[in-house]
Amino acid sequence: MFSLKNQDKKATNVRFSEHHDVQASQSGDAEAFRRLVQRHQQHVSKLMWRFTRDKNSHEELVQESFVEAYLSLHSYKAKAPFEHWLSRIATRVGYRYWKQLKRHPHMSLQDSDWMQIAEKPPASVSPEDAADIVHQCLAELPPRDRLVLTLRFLEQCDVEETARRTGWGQSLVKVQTYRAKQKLKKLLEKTNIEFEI
Amino acid sequence: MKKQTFENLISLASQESCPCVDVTDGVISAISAVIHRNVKYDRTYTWMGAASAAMAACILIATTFFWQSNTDSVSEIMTYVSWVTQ
Repeated sequence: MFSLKNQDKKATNVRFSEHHDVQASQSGDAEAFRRLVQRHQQHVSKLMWRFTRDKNSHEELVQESFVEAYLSLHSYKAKAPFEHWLSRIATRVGYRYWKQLKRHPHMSLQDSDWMQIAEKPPASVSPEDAADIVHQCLAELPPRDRLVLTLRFLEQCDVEETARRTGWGQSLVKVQTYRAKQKLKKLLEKTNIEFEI
Repeated sequence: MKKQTFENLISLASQESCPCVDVTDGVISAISAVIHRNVKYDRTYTWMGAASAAMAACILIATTFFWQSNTDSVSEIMTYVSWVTQ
């Protein structure tokens, strides 16, 4: 009981100091923004790792998300937690990155590559290998489909959260998810991976 | 052999840990660069505004001066005309 009260107090303090830092950053205090970056960079880093597997690009994307957040800070109204607002901006940065990638000539996976994917038996696949395989599979889809599947299944967002992060309507999210799943199912027919979501 | 399912892969992938990054200094220097650029632009616009205002003031003074001198000669002619008609 006592520790619960302490946790509540701690959470309130964190919220208060965060609110204070946001306000100070809005007035141009770089030190306050530095504290916000330190507090949230792991969360943004985790999210951006869904958008790229390249460490250099990953760091650039994390940095770009925070710079974009700073430039849009005047639009933050503190109606939602700062982390949610930041996630929306980071998602936008990641999605833009995918769209830029699609504009450049893209090496599609060959049939032989597909056969090699997930050759290992299920028990011996590490989380990193699994993430690599999922990333490779999703990379074959158009950015919109890739985004909706990444948010719904890797980030485990519900329809409402996905709609909030993408800025799409909830019905669009549902339709997009259905279509993306159909495309993924078709893609996975080439591999030894069974489609079950 | 038991087949790999996409659901299994996704649940495994969700457990993956991401690389640690520290972008604090990079972000702060990028923001400083943006602020510096904005200040530079602001200064340029301020100078342009001041120069335009000074130019407008000169034009206004010249126009007033020209208008007054013209008005004087017109009023002289009008006085002369009214004197002749009388």
